[in-house]
Amino acid sequence: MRRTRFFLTAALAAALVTAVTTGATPTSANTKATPTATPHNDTVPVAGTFAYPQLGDHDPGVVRGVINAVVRIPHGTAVFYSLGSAQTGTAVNTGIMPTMSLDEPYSIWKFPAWSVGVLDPQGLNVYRPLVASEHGCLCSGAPDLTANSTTAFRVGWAVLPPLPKGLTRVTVDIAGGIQVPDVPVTSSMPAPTSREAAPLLGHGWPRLPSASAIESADRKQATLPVAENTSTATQSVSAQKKDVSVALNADVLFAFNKATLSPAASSTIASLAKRINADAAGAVTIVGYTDSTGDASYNQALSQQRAAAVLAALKPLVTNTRVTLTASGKGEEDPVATNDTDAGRALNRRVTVAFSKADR
Amino acid sequence: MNRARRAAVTALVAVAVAVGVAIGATGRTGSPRVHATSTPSPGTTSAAALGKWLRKGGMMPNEKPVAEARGTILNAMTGASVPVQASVLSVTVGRSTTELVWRLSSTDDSRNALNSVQLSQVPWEDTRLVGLEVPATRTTYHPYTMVPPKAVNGVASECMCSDLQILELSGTGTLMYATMPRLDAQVTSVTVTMPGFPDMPNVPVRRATGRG
Repeated sequence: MRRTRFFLTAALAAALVTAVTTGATPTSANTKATPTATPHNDTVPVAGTFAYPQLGDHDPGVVRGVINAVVRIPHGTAVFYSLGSAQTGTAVNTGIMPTMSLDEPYSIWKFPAWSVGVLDPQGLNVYRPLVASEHGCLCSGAPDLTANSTTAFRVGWAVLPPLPKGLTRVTVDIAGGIQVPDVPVTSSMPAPTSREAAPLLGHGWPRLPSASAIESADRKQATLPVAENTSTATQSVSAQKKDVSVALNADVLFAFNKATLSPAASSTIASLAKRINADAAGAVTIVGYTDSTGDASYNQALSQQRAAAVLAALKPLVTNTRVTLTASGKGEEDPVATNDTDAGRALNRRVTVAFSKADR
Repeated sequence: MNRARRAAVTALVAVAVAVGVAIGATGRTGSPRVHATSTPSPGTTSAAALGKWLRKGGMMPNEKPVAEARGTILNAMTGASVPVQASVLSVTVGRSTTELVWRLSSTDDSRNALNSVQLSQVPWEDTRLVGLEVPATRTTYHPYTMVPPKAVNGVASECMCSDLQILELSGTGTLMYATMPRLDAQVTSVTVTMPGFPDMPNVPVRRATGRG
C-alpha cells in the first residue's frame, strides 16, 4: 500500500511537473483567453533559436531570439517569438525586427509587415502575417518589441493564415531571412495571456486579435506560392505547386551569337518535351533572352530567333494535345543575374519554357 | 523513523522521482538543456535561463566551419570588389527541408564597407543563387523563392534565405541561412556553390534525426 501510495504520489507530481515545464494549457486554441493582470510564467516553450545583426547600423549589435510556438487558432495560425539584444545604447532602437515589403525588394519601409513567415514545403506555400489594413498586419509593432529590449526579451506575435490540415512541422522564416527548421505545430496556446502588446518574457503571452478580426483579414496577400529551384549544366527549373518554368542554358543550346540549335541540345529538348507531355496543360510559353553585351536591337532579334528554334524543335516531340506552344523574344530584358560577370551573363543567356501543370 | 517523518520522506522521494520522470518524458520530445549561457535546445526552459542566454550576446552558432572559400562581392556605391570569406557551418537535412548555415566575413579583422545590397537584390548576384550540388546527379538545389504579392514584374525576388542587411562586414561576420528541399537519404556530402566564390566540395551533410 505504501509503495502504491508512493507511485500514485509520484505519478501525480509527474503530471504536475510536466504540465508546468511544457508551459501549455490542456485546452485547445482560444483567442478570447482572458488576459491576466499581472501574469507570470516561469517556464517557456522553445522551438528554436536564432541571432542576427541589428539592421541599419554600421556597427550592429546582435539580436537574439527564440521561436516559442506555432499554434493553430480559429481562422489562423499564431506564431510566438521572443527577441532581445545584449547591446546597450540607442542603436538598439532601430531595426530590431526588419520590415517587409509586399511589392518590391528594398522598398522595405513602405509596409510595416513584420518579417515572420512559415514555410509549408509540402504544399509549397509561405504564410505571412495577415493583412489587416493598407498599412498594417496582424502582428507585433516595432515600438512594442523595442521597448527595453536591451535588458530583456520581449514576446512578439504574428497571426498567419490557417495551415493545411496534417501539417505537423514547419520552417519558420524570421527577421529577414533566418530560418528555424522543424518547428512543431501545436493546438495548445501558451498561457497565461497578458494585457501587454509585447510582454516581457516570463510575464505572460500577448493577447491575440479577436477571431472575427482574424477571419476578416486579407489572406490572399499573406499566402505566397513557393518555388522549388534546381539546376544542372543544361537547365534551371523553378517549380511551384501549379506552375513550372524551365530556363534552358543558351550556351548549351546554341553557339555564340547563333540561333541554330547545337547537337548537344537534342537531349535537353527531348527531356523537356517528355515533361510537357506528362505534366502540362494550356499555354506553353517559350521566351528567349540574351545578356546585355552588344546592340540591344540585335539582341532582341537573336532572342526571338532562338525562341523560335526551340519551338520548332519541341513541336514535333510534343504529343500532348492539351497544350499550345508560342514563342517570343525579350532581348536583354529581365536579367536574372548581373551582366558584369561571365557567370552572370551566362545565366542571362537563356530560353525559358513556362507551363502550368495539368489538374490531376 | 516516525510515521509523519516517513510520510514526508516518502513524499520528497516521490517528487524527486516525479521530476526525473517528467524530465525523461519531455526528453523524448526535446528536453530542456539550458545552462546559464548555452544555446537553448528545443523543449522548454525557464525564462530566467533564457534571459541569461540573451545577455551573453554575440552571434551563434559558434561552430568550426566545415568548408571555407574566399571571394569577392561588389560595393555597389564604389564599384569596387570587396574581398570576403564564406564559411560553411553546417548543411543539415531536417524532416522536410535542408538548411545551410554559413558565415560571411571580411578576410581579416578589418571592417569592410559594403554599401551594397548586392546579395539580395535582383538582378545582381544574390543569395537566391547559393546552391547545394549533389555530386551523383550533378543537380544543384537552390533556396525556395517567392514572388512578392504586389510585384508588378512577376520576379521571384524573395527567398527562404538571408540577405545581407548590414553595411559593414567585420572579421566576425554575419550568419546567413538558406533553406532548400530535403536532400535524398543517400546524400552524404554536397558541393556548396555561391556566386563570386570557388565551389566548396565534400561538405558533409548532417541528418537531424529526432530533431525538434
